[in-house]
Formats: sequence, structure tokens, C-alpha cells
Amino acid sequence: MTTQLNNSDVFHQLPGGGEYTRHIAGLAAMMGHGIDQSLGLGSPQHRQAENGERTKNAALTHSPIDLTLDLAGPFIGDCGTFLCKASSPAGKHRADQSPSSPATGLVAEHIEITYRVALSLMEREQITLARKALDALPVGQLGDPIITRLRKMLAVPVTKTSEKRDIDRTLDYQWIRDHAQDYRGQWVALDKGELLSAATSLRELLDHVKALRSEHRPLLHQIS
Amino acid sequence: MRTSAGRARFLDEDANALEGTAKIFVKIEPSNLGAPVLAQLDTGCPWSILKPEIAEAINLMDEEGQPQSLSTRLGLVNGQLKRTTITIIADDGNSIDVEATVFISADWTAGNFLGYGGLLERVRFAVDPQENFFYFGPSA
Repeated sequence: MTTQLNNSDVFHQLPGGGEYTRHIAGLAAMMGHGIDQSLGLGSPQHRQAENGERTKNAALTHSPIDLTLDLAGPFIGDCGTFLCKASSPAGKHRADQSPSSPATGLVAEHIEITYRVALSLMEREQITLARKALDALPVGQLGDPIITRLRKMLAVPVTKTSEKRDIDRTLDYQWIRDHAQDYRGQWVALDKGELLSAATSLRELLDHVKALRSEHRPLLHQIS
Repeated sequence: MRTSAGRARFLDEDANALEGTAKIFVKIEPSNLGAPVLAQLDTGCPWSILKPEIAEAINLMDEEGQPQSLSTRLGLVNGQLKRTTITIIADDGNSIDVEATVFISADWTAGNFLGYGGLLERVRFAVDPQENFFYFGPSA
């Protein structure tokens, strides 16, 4: 099934807090699956006929009772449902857990589903959507270890200026153009257009460079 | 609005590039490596990638990351996403330190890449192809 995810359409439907079933339905729609498919309720022919928008609408209008009854089945623990390629180290652990109460189990499932949705979005290179899926979790669920780790990896980069400076490497670039053929597979250290050292591994090259005590830090490059 | 913190001369061709097409290689210093290396600018790459030897040199291989597979021109590569500091180094002006997410894989045999997700998405940059200057600065 090919479904175009529409950022604004999908995430306007995601709740920030307690509307659990609507959230699940929204997540299922994000995945490009009909909710009937995700919950094992519909026929493949019907699913293939739907596009993303119709799927989302169908998901959002589906009975909350049906959703709740079927959530624990095919939706959980079946990574294939989401075409998920990234491993889910916490997934097995969670599947093995016996929730102490229905509410606890529901929260765990909520986290698990969101985690898998985010992973799947990452596999599709939909990084912004993956961030939004995680951010849509209630604040109380953001501290879960698997969610915390994923949010850390998905955090927007932080930049700050630095006083660090390098010299113009025009001469070193010219060296690479002129001599690369002779150093294939090797790591080279260059400064002012001169080869300071060459080695078969970066570790070896770094050892050589430390011993040189050259005026500038050399440019390191592997000729592949 | 200030666009640039610094600029650096870039390498626009790599004699070892098998396909022989022009590319932009900018100078970076990953974490505490202690020396600049080159990385190919690739806004189409979802994550930045560091060569495994560099990741090992900056002690990034042993850190626990987020398992991830990446579809590349060399096929599907399994690795991990990890958080580290990448400095884009200036010849003039200021360099910038980027707390970035990078993809690390022991199976990666190609070069270093600066990708959009987790790094370039918060960097303002421009290229002067006449002078081979790469201008850059923090986005906010």
C-alpha cells in the first residue's frame, strides 16, 4: 500500500492528552494502514482500495469499543504489521510483562504502539513525523526508557559557535587530486600541501601524527 | 538576519570518487578526534554518517545507540544512531559545534556524510561555487 503521509492532516488529529482511542486511530492512520487492517477486521481487497485520507477518516470514526477490544491482538507485538525494520529491544520485554492493571497495560500498549510508529516513520525517513508522534504522548509517558532514548536520538540538533579555527586547505585538496591514485585504501595526514604521514588504519595514522608535533593539526583523509 | 558564522574552502571533487562527479566535501571535526576530516555534504541523506574507524577513535562505537537500518546506494546498512558533537570548522570567522545525531555502522565502507536529519536541519549554509567557499552558521 502506498500512502502519502500528510503532516498537517494527520497530526491535527493527534491528541495531546487523554483521548486514547482517537490517538491510536490516528497512529494507525499515520502508518498508512486502515484501522481494520491494523486490528485484523477487514479484507485485504478493501484495504488496498483505500488511500491515506480515507483510511485516516475511517480510523477516526471507528468505534472506540472495537478498537479497545482488538488492540491487544495483531496491533501489539507484530512488527511486520508496521513494516518495521528497526529492532525493538524493549518490545519483547513489554510483551512479556503482565500488566498489574488494565490501565497500566493500556499505558504500556500506548507507549509500545507509539514507539513502533516512530520507528517505522524513521525507516521511511519521516523524521519530523516521528518526532511529532513521540511528542504527542502524554507527559507522564515521556519518561519511559525506550521513549526517552528515541526522543534523545530524534532531538533536533543544537548548534553553538566555536572559536576553533583551521587553515585554508586548498593545497591539501590539490594534493588529494594529484596523489590519490598512489594511496588507495590508505589514511593520509596532510598539511600545507605535503604528506605528513600515511597508514593503513586511522589508529596508526593518529599515532604517527601525535609523534610529529606539527605546527598545524593535519587534515586526515582516507583515500578509498 | 545574520546568515553566516564562518566560512571554509571546500573540496569539490575527490579523485577517488568512483563515479567522478563533482561533490562538496567540507571540513568537520567529530567530537574529540583532534584533527579535521572531510565529509560529503548530502542533504538527501536522512542522517549524517561517520566512518567506523572515526567512530572508534572518538569512542562512539561502544556507546549504546538506537538500532536503525539505512537504505543507501550500497544497499541496506544496519547500524545505530548515536548522539555526538560535530564541529563544522571555519577557515574564517567562527566554527560551529553541532550536537548531532549520526548513523554509525561497522559495515559502512563509504565516506563521512553530513546529512539533513539530526545535523544540517539546524545549520544555515550557502555555497559559493566560484570560490569554493562553504558559508555556514547556526540556524537560530
